[in-house]
Amino acid sequence: MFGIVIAFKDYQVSKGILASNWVGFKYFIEFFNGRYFARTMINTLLISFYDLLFGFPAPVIFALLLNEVKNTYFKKTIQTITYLPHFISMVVICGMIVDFFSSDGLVTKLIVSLGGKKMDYMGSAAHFRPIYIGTNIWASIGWSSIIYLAALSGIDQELYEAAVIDGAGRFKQLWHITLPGIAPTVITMLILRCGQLLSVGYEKIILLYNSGTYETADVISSYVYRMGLGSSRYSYSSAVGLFQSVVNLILLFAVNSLSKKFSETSLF
Amino acid sequence: MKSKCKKIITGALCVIMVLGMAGCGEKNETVQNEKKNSFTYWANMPAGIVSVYQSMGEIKMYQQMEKETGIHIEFIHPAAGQVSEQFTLMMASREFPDFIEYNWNSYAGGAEKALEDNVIIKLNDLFDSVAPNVKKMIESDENYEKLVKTDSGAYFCFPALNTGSYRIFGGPIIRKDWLDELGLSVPETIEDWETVLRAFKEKKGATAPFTADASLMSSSELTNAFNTAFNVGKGLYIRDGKVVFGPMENGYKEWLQLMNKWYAEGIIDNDYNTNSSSAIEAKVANGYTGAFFGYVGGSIGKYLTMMKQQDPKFDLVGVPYPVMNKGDKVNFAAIESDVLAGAALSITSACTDPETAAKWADNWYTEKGRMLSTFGVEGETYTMVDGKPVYTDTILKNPDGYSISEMLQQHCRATAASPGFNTEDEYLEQYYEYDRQKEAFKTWSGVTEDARKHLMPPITPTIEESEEFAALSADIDTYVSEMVFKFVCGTEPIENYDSFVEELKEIGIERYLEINQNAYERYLNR
Repeated sequence: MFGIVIAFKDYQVSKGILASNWVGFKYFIEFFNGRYFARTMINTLLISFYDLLFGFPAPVIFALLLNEVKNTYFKKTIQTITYLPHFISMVVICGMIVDFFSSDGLVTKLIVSLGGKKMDYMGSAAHFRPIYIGTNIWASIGWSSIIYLAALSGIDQELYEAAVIDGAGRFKQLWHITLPGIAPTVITMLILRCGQLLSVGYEKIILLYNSGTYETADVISSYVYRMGLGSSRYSYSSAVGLFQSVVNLILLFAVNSLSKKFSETSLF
Repeated sequence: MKSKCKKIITGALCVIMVLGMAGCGEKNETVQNEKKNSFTYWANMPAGIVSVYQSMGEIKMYQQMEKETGIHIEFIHPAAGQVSEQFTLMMASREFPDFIEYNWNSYAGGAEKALEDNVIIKLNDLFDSVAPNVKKMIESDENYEKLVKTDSGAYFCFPALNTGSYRIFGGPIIRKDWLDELGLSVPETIEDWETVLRAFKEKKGATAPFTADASLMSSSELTNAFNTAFNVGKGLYIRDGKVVFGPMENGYKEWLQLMNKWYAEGIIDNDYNTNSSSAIEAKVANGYTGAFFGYVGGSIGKYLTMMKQQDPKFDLVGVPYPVMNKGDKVNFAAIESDVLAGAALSITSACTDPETAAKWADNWYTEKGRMLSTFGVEGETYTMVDGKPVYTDTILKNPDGYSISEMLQQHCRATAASPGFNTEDEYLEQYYEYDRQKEAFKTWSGVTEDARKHLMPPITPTIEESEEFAALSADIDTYVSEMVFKFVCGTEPIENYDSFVEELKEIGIERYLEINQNAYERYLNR
């Protein structure tokens, strides 16, 4: 934590953290005025937002669907298959993605046979976000659904029996028993997720992007990575990283208090 | 209460340990200052031995050197693919080994800054007192001296010197068997290339007649493919004593236009920006491509060996760099500098016995060191025939099926840059087993002199300028690589080239060139 002070200093390796000169908000101002501020900011927010919009409900829906499956053997097989990508290293996952979406790749061939265009999808800025979000869902849907399955198994079965006696159909049961039953878990996960709105992980981005897709793919964390470890601009990249954390913290508090107000579920 | 007791005991034990160690330290220190016979050495491990050895200490030449000098080297290697990141982390933590072998030009602020930051030590006095061989080698050539010194005249490393007579190892390569089958001759001009690539696409069914990776258009790489015909470099280069930036020069727009046309037509690989080296390899092996930019060893040699079984007719030939009209001069090529900056061996400030360290490193600049690092151990890996070293069959025809390159890497460091002698002619002539490789050499070497004149040497900004320089170069690199790809694939119409140049000026290209120009002049005055 103490290292954060270098964001306000002109950090020189030879002088060390303490002896380096204070520069105040110089690096923050440089970032806000820099040519890539707007772009990395918008990309981060958009990727996060889409990830939240499509990526968050996906495991919930998946868990609900699984819950309705009565054949145990089929259910277990599906679960095993969807967990698999979680255990593969990110580097391998990204290697596969690049391969599948190249102009002779597996997915591209599928797209072409469905009447799509044959092209290198990884080199196209317009396709970066859908690919990023889509593969995120593919890689995490099984693993993320575990927590909802656990919540589902905690719902009192007598409620369903009572509902059936009252004449409730499947959808009525889902709407009035299942969903309220897992709502606290869903909201807690949502709040935690919102706290990360501004921190799109850099690993997957830097493994997938290239000069053709910087426009839609370059996010704050990948920018910090390039500046800090690529160009050795320690102070500058610390400042950018600190900015990102502060905004995340504010978002977390905001969503938490909103949730407290409207749903009575909150983290603290 | 219990935890308090524990804390006190732990504290007491710590004190005892520290005292004990301090006692030992004092005793040893007097010995250490006199002589140290083991050093730590941080270096990137050559890719070829990763699967065979745990560390470079297992390479035979280091074991032989240990036998002769009695000095043990303990190697430390960063994880493969994370060299620069781990180097940066090591710099930030300030825990240094005795030796670091690295490209100091990529240290923020250059070698001069590394000296000032007290990461590495100045070697001028040590060269004079205990390392006469390296000094003699450096002073034997004006170019060596300029490339090895910093602007202020400090020696900072034991350099990897290019001592052979060849400098160009890469260029355009083409499928000779396809050319013969289609009755075409080796292409020279852009017009020839267009005919050949179109024929590959139409008659041979190549989906990517000319393939490449992102380095094809990158302003920071030496892959010069078709820009040679427009007499324009891709990034910074020297023209009439001035540092200029290719993307702002005459000819660049026309080159972009051609690349755009070929991209749209599908005769250069539409995946070029995302191709990995394995993707290129697969395209060559499967006949999806008939031409590419490559190297004598890494491409021609590798593919000829790879395809021998699969397709006996498969044949590759190195062809001249493309020109616009027959007989035009070629001013750019994948030319190597006289000093290979990537393997500069420096002694760090953490080394307690720099004198012995320098003496050890100096061994690589003697005749014995030259033989050891290029040919290995006499009797084992080479024998002298008529006064010339000849590799034994252990290397050339290994019974266990290792290739020449793999065997060499297990015994010495001839195949990649290392402190001392590099790319010796006697080694190259034996290393390249195919005639096609030797031909390619001769084909490309013709342009050495002209390309050398335009090559931007590694320069260092002054310490005051270094932060500004880093910021500018990061912004410019990102912007250029992005825009160039857009121009080539057509998402940005070529008419916008002028606004691209305007935007570069906005970012500060003029200031960037000024810093470079000043640094270049300091370089010339070294």
